[in-house]
Amino acid sequence: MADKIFRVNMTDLSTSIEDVPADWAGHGGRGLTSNIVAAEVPPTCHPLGPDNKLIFAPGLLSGTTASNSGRISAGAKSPLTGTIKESNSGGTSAQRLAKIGCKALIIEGQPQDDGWYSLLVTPEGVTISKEEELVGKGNFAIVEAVEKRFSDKIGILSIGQAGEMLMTGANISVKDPDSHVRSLGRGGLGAVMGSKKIKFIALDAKDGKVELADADAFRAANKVFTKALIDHPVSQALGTYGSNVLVNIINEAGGLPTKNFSSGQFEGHEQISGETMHDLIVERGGKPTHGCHAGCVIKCSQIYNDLKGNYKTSGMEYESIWAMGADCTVDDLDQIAEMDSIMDDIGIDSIETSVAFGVAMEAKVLDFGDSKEMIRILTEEIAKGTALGRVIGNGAGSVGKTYGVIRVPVVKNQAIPAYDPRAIKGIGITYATSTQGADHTMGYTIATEILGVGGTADPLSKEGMVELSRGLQIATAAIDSTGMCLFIAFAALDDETCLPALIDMLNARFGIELTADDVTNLGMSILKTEHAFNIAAGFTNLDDRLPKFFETEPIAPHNAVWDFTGEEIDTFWDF
Amino acid sequence: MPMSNECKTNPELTVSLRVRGDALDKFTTLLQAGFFLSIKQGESIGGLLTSLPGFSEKYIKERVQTIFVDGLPADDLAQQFSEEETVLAISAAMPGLAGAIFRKGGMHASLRTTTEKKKSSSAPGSILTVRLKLFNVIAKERGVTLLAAGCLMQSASFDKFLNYRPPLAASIQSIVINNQETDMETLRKTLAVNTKIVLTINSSHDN
Repeated sequence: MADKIFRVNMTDLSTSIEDVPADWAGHGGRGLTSNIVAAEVPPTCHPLGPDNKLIFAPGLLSGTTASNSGRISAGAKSPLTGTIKESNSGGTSAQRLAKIGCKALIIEGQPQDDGWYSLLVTPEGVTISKEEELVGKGNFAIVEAVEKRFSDKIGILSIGQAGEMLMTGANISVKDPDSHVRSLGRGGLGAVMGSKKIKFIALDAKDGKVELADADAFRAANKVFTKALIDHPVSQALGTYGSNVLVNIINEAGGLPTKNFSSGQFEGHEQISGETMHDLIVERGGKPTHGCHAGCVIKCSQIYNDLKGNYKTSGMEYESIWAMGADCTVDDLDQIAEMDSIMDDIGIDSIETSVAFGVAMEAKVLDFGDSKEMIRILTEEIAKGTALGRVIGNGAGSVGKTYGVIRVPVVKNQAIPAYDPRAIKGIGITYATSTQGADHTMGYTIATEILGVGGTADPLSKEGMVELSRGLQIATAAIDSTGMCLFIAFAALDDETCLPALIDMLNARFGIELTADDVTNLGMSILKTEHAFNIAAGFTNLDDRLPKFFETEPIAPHNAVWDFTGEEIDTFWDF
Repeated sequence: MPMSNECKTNPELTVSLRVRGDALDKFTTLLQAGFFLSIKQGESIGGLLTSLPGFSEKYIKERVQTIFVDGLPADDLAQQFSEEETVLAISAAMPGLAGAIFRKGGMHASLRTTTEKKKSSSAPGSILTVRLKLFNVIAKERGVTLLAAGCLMQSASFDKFLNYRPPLAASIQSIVINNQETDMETLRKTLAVNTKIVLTINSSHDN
């Protein structure tokens, strides 16, 4: 069965299934969501109005047996940044959508009434239903109820209270294989789903399967690819400690933003490190190793139990733990796990919201390190939509404007994550130039020489750093289109068989003859499409800047400042 | 294999613990806070590491992928120590772009922030102190041997560790301070008034 575009119009409550336009045929994941947004969303529209569209797309390899290919992308114009936005996540939805035969699910329009709706997507099409029972509920209750209503085999995309209340920090939750949730976290896409008045989307693939043009070639390439992933030492570290293994080393580098980015080292880093977390998990009968989607061979996720050994949360990433921990000076993993669980339930981005708390702490709305008050605000203010809750739920920029804070770590109004750009300047360039606001995943480490995007300038010069960041962003945009987890990048960096095997899988899936150059061109095209959308939306080169305080406030312990000029940053787009 | 005497200078207070066998490897996480070693000026990173039990040249080459000297990434195991006090942190391969940027000899090292290194402050031939922090799987893989040999560390680090890991405190079956058997209360008081201790940890199954 050929893949189709599934379209839902929430204004007239109609649905349709369409053939895939030729221009979109070679796209998946981020490449597809960004191309659809660019083609169909007026760049100057209000992100929460009827003209914005919410698009879900599995990656090109999602639904196959390719290892680590279970990422789903969501795209729209972001209510947080005003830019184009793509966010991706693990869970079960990418594989369900692919097996349904849905290349992209496009949701447009806006209901005329105040009622709420749900969608059921099957290979036969989309059914829109009125939803009353789950309005006002959190994601955990939604997953439980929807599984009872349909089956525990279905995929679920849902929003919690934050999305219902259109908070720009709201995320979209994705059910994982254990019926817990992962998040399409960044950029406030939960608010876009809320603006369409959709509480949840159930994905029932029935007996759908993804067809392969050459099953034998696919199997052979996947074997090589999987071996490269499993054998790599970073995969082994990730499988043992998760991404939170970074706490100690980034702290050592002086790049762990602490106390709302006023220092680069956190005294309590040992209490929240990946090594400590691993031991606590083992001690309490949790799982230090756990996959967020079927077919993951790295398994960087974990199941974190509370003091009594009962399930508390899962999939805590370094960036979330940093945000709740060092940035807010909370040195207690149990408190962090509690907040992580609450944020999963109410459906709000744990990076954006925690950085917003850091700014609120600087404004003396609450004290640094006061995790009990953070928990109270999450449950009593944000989940209930009080004035304070909405200020914090709308992100770090919102808190800064409301309370007159100068040190607000955002780019294009999206909170800067986990790596201080003064201490690690290469990441700062990515924060500044990303088409989607500050985001550490926009320019991941990729084997730039294989894809020919390493650049020619002296790598130690500023020009060389900008060129390398550009190469990484181009390559990342391409990887984000495959449905692959970005953690494949480490094997791709060191094992020369890894990226070619990935390209071989794409060729065997679709019966095409992609080369590394094609992949690079795909990444370039995605970046340029996203950039063009932003320019049309009113953004200029002056938006590609870090906040001024990074230039004027040296960060301890190395006392480094951000010293890239605007002209140097602007060369990023010279391609 | 006991740690070389050279590594255990100024043995102040000695604290020896026997812990439940199943808890032993969890104490190795304590080494993320670091332990102190004495070396001669001019010693290299590689030279220091190979002097430690379990750190063969092969292990160091393959496992030690990230090195920080006083917070600055280092790429060369031949880099020599010259400061009177240095913090050396080592880790296995790290994830993320940041992990690749800081990786020893990594191809994305050019994305680091360039920071001026301090000039040497020690006299030729002098004895220097290195605080070695073990991150990632290195502490788990080599920590049991190191702790069995005894590690000089800050009392406050161990005290803090006992505070945030109460189940591990409960796994301690015997405490000996300067060859005298004692109890947890005395240990905590001792830690509060002494800056450093030589901590030795073995499991109840060891001889």
